[in-house]
Amino acid sequence: MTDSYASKCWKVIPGLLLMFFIAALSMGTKDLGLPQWIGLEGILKENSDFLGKVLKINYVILVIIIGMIIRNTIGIPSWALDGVKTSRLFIKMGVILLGTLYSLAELATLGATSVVLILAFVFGTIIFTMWFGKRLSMPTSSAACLAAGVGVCGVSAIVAVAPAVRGKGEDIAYSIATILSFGLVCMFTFPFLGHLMGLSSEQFGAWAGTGILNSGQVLAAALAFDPGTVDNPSVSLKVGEVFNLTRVVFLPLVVMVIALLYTRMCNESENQESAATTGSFMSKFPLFVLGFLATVMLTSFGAFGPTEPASDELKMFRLLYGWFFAIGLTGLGLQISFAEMKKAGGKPLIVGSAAGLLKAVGSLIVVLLLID
Amino acid sequence: MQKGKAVPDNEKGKLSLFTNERHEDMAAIIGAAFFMLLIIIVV
Repeated sequence: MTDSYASKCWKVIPGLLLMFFIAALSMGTKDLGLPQWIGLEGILKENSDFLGKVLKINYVILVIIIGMIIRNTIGIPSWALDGVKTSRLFIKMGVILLGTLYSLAELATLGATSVVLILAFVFGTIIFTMWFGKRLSMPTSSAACLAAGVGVCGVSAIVAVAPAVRGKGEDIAYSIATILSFGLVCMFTFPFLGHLMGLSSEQFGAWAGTGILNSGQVLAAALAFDPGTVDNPSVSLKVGEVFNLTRVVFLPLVVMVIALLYTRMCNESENQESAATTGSFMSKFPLFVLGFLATVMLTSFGAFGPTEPASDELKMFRLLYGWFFAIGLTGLGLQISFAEMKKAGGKPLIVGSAAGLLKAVGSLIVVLLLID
Repeated sequence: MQKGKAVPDNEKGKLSLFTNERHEDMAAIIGAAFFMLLIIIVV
């Protein structure tokens, strides 16, 4: 038995090296002590403000795209197959380390209005997306990934939630494509509508920070509405970023809530006749989410040193999770087949756009009522 | 109903090293803890 396990471990190495190579190609090798290669992400940022800074096409999206291209053209080489199959282990380790980014102390510093508004919209959108997805017979894992993307803040939320809901590569790819394309429409229409309705800079910032899905797009829309000057910086940008950051800070809570909702929905659909017991609930609950929450708590209580400015340990943890995500997402990209995506049809786009539109209109109404 | 139950590629493959999802979760927790300890010791 030990021998067969050892040989399994050996078989994993070639695929791991392939994923690592693609990750390094996209991220660059600066972290590895070779600053000469700035990576495809670096090249993109240097040459295109729109792709690099506004759309934030970073290594996360690049490794998935490269993986998808390989899978759907030449296919996964047979020698790499076993290694590619370990991709989710890396994503899970990355999510656990991602916990070092959050501190409970940060929550205390946020304004009450932004916290209440964001909480209501984040969780309202998540519940609506999962409910509407179920109505349209979307797989629960697919609806949960989309809910994270529409509810919180795009790509990072989708990546963090996907392993907790056993999301497939196609779920991640579809969710990212949906929120990026919806966000793109918002980025151009929000400033125009804001001027048309005569919103103040504060109102527009709060609306963009709540209603637009991607942080790069919040920034672009806020600056388009109110560019500001050196002496009078953009107020809508400042307000928008506070609302946007509030949303990001709640990611640990969002992962927990979506994992619970997913477990519950699976139990409901699979065990409709037998009552869902605590045992079956716990057996489906993704254990690594507890590891993620433990890391958030350890960071909050200063186990890894100060968070502001971040200690050397925290900086290293954050560097490491970037690599874990890059390696794991390369593997996921390598497992995304266009045929599987075709099967999903346009449902994610319909559900994501409906939830996004509802959030945009709802937040506009609340902002008009609450903020002068 | 059967459509929803179709086993996706990564579901088929993820058990190359682990016998079930729970084992993979445990391995992720142990792996992350190992790297964190390593960093704490080295830094």
